[in-house]
Amino acid sequence: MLGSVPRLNPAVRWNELDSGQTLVVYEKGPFGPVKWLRKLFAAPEVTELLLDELGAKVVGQIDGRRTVGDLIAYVAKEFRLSRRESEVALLKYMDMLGRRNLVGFEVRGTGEAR
Amino acid sequence: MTRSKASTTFTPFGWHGLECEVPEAWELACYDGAYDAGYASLDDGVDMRLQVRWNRVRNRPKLLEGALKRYERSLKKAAKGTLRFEAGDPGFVPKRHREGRDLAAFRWEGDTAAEGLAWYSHATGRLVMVEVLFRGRGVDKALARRVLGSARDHRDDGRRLWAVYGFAFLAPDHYNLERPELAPGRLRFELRAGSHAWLRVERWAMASQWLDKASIEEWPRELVKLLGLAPRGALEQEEARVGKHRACRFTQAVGRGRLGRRQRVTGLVWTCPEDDKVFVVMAGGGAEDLAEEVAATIVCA
Repeated sequence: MLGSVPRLNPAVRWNELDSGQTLVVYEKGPFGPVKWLRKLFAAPEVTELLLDELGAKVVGQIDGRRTVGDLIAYVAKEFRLSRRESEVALLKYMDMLGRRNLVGFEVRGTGEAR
Repeated sequence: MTRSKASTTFTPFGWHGLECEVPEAWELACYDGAYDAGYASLDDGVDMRLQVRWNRVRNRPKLLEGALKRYERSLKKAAKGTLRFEAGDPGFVPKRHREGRDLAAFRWEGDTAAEGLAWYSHATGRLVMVEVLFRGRGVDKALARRVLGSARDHRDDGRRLWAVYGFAFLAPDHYNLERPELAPGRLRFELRAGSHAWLRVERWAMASQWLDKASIEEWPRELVKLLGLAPRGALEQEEARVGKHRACRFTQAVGRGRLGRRQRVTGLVWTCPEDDKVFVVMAGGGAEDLAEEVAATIVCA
């Protein structure tokens, strides 16, 4: 995991706001009965997520080259956290972004994206 | 923090009275138990590097020998017999750390190798086992001896060192850790002595973010609220100093329910801009100046 490279989903709109926050606009998962229910009740297909300044800073570091390990080191340095604290915080954050399909992870060496 | 010949920076690790100096990159990864019995391990981000186990036992003949034999058996069973275990010489332990302890050194080698030190402390009645682990790399005896030689399970000044993730403080040794909350960005130690006296020590990272929302003078009110105890009377606040930093000292009478026991909560909150941290020490039901005493032991940038 630490050696994998996070990549931003190109289908997602990442709008940087003047406040330092980032507004993420993305389509909801297009599968299964949930989509059918959404259509039935005319629920919006698109959803928004507001990343705070700290979250936006971390996303700003995702450039398709930096590994998760590099991002942990960045968080530790930028926010003056211990290695373990930044590791726990960043992995949780990456998990949240990954679950929403906002970020994918390329496993180095295989070129395989997950 | 000290520096070794090979320019490794060492930092203190302190947990339930056990303390030693470890390379700065080694951080607490896992913990369990309390003062009487428990376990802690530290890793370097990749591999486990230090394991500590302790157990309060009644001293009896050949206690240490028996404990090491049992440990050897369990290691060999797990490794299916492919492990070499041998006794070592604890002569590397400084004389000042040998007094009051029955010591035994050991080493083992399988997929992972370890240099270890076990002792029975007559002062605390605890049997302690500390191991420095080397996985997929040669055994660095000098490093192991540096770490093991600094290990002890109590201090002589009546205090206990709590030191993890670059945060360290000393608390009276009759205060036991009741609940640690080691969340990213906020470390909180809740210690208790008996049924009434308590101590809470906290370190909040990213202070500038928090202070944008509330100034340091607004913190005491919020901190008292978070205790979940009903305030009785007004919150008293005054300016103080902790080291080179301006601090806010506060006192609040609190009680639980109408007939609940009342107590005075005293506390100090201050910020270190260089470190971008907020520190909080609060105490109740014990010595009036406990918060001040503990706060004075916290070192920041």
